[in-house]
Amino acid sequence: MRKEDFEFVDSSLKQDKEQIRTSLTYWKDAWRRLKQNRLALVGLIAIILITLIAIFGPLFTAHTYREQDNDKINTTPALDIYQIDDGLFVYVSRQYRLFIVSEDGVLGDLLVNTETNVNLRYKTYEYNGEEITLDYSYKFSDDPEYKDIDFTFTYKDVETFEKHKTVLNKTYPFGTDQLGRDVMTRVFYGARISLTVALVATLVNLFIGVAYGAISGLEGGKVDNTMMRIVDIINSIPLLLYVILLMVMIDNRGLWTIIITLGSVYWVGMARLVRGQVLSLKNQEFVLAARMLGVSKGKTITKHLIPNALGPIIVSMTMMIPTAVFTESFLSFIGLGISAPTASWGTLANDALGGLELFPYQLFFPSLAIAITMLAFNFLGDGLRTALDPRLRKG
Amino acid sequence: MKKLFTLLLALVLGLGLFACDGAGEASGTLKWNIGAEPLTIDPTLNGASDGGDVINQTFEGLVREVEGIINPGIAEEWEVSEDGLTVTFHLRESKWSDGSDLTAHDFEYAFKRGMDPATASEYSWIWEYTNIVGSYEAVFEDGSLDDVGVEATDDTTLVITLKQPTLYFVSLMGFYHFMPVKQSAVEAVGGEDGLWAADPNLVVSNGPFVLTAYEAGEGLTLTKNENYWNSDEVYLESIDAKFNDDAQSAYNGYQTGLFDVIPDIPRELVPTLMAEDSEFYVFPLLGTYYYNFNLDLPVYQNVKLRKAFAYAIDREAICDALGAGELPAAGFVPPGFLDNNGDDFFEVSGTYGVASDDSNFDEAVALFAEAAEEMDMTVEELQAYLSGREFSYNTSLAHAAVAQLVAESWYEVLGVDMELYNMDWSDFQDYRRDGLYEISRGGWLTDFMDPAGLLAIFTTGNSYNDPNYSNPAFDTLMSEAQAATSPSIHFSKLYQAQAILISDMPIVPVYHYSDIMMVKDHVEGWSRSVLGSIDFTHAKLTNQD
Repeated sequence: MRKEDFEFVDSSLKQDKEQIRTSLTYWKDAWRRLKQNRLALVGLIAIILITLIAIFGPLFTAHTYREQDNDKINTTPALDIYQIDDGLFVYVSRQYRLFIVSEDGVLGDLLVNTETNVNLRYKTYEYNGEEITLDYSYKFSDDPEYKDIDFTFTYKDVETFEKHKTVLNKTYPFGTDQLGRDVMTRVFYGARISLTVALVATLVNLFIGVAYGAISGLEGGKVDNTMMRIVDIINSIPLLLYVILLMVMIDNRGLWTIIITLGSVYWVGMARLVRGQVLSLKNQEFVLAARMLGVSKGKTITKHLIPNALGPIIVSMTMMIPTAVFTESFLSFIGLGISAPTASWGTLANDALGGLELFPYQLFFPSLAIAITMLAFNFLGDGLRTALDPRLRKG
Repeated sequence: MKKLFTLLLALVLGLGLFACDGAGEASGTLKWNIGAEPLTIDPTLNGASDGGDVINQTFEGLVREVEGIINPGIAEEWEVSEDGLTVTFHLRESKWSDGSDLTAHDFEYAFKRGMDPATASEYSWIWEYTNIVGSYEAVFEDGSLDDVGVEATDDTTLVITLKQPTLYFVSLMGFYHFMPVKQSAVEAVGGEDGLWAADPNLVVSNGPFVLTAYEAGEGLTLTKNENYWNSDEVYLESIDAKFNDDAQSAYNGYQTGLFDVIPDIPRELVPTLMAEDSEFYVFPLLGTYYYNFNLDLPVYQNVKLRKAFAYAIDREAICDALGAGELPAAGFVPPGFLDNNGDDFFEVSGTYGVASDDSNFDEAVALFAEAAEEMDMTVEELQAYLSGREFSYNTSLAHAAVAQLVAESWYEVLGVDMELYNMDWSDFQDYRRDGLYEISRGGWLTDFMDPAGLLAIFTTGNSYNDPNYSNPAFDTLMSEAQAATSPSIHFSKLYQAQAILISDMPIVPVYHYSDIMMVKDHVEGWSRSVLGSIDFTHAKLTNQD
């Protein structure tokens, strides 16, 4: 048998027949599975976007969060403009303030109101020495002929009935609030405050809650009993009441006070949850093995117990963020939270309540921001739960 | 049974006759939102306008002021002696709601109860301004109540002796503090501390209406008082009043027909409603919205700094942004007070150089620089020193709006970025009285038709003198005005006093209040006193559609 009779295979084919995949770490695997979950990705992208807006948004708007233009109060995001003369457009706010406006929606000067007749329902304004008469009686007319007409303008003896068009407010894209501040900048700025409070408070909760719960669960016995009774005591006080008391006692108002009080109180739920997880894990074989090998208690907690309890921890954390946003807004409303003119989403929403009937957009934008943030965190939390749960790990 | 039927028939016919007649027949229930629940509705103890609104329906004093006109109340007529020192009221024959006779002795009792330190009325200080002989001593200096110049010489005559002629004395008698109370009711068991007034079983009153139900935190019911002397001209059968202090929900209730009258409207809706709604009313209110400087703190003792703050706000812009008919305030006395020449005190006193628009801004910056120099600081150091300090107001969206307007203006003009701080009203009152603030909100409404009703709170030691302002020249002028024997002296002292006050600027006057309310068109005949109390005595409900 000669060597030539044989055909040698390429050395690269001499490998083991069994196909193996590259080894995946715990986190790589989680990321792989998270990527497959479309909703979670949407949530993640939304959170990243919101964070970016919070950090950089206020830098790119033309106004600051506190700057007031007391003329341009309560202007809407969409402007109904009327052409009262060649190239002369006006916009009238819901409070009957009349503005010169460009055709593409840049707000100009406020015109001076010279006369108001409530009975006949007209107002006159002065523009360059000429009089503009705004007749709003049509709005209250029962005559079906006028049912599409809200206002008419009379300028140089010509009466304008038809709205020219509706344009977007170029000066203030989200409109202005009751003091003439830019709602868009305030919502962006509010994201900073709301997210900072929520994130920091949640992180503080996370550390205290996880450490407390894990120690209590692993130690067991008297230690566990004592620690959990303390949690019971804290939990039996209505937390909001406790937070209010703390805020009053600390008596130093501001962002950090809220963060500290929220962080120092809301960890009890987390502690209970982690303890429960640790109790169910600590008698399993891998923990037993670790103990037999002489792994210290601290290492057991950080290397074995917490990673295995991460799923529920993360879910509870994502739920805590919206709770913190709400608590912060509530505290700000009753006068214990951040003080004006600083804005958080909660205070923005509260400020808008009074004028809801006339200026719903002032409530809409901060509410939308809160809603998007909550949904995003919930989607992401849900996705992370499935991705991180070792029991749901497959091949 | 038949008898009952006949009786009923007669009753129905009788009612029918009355209805044709149209007079003297009460009909309908007015639905009224009072606002916050009054602390008390005992006239002598009450010190708040919400309680005053209720008392104005349930009690009647010697006179009744309606839209600035003094009408006879329980007093049919009165005369003032030539020297102006004796005022004699001749009372009409009238009855309490329990049917007993109301006499001049009841007034004497009520007045002395108000002065008695044991009663601890919040309003006892007002007796000093009545100028009644011995009243100041009785309230503040343990003087005997027997020496007070209030005497019922018989059942229908009340004689008041004054220390000096007091122009506004008769009009003052329409104020709720001076309404009569019945001794047996006040001292009834279970009615201590003014509780009798809120207990339908104990209350005895003499006004057009009488309290028939009271539910804490909920509301109260007033029913026509058949024993009221002028009950023929009271047309409402009852008033169903609620305590809803949330402007927004009260306004919603008004829109859905839950209320016929509401005293407060969400601020943001005001300019629109003012233009569109004929049921919306704006009245001037005799009071001033201002900010106090805490003069116990060294930095605010610099008058130039205080003036810089006062000059650095655009009052017209603020009033315009608020949009409810407020007027820029340069001094402390609002329009509506006529002096001895019949001119308006507000007009005559002028603006003291405090501009209502932004034309003082440059001067404010200059004053701020001078103040910094006097304090041995650079402008930047003074800005840094003041920035972050507490600028406080009681929690409310409306106060927050004004505070932000003012603070932003200070920030832009003076570069001082104060920290806004709000707290609950009851805490705020203590905090402000105890002088724990730096700059705090204040507001004052007068209780009688004289500029002294406003200016007097800044005399040394007055319990409402929150800035702790003390200027002997001002105090002297105020007491001279009080002791003046002629109106011309009285007013000239008051003009001088206000000039001193504004040149010292212990406060930043911002605006003069306006009073807004909504009343359904089907409510007719209601009225209002210039001091701000609503009056339903002659109110009627016309057909509701």
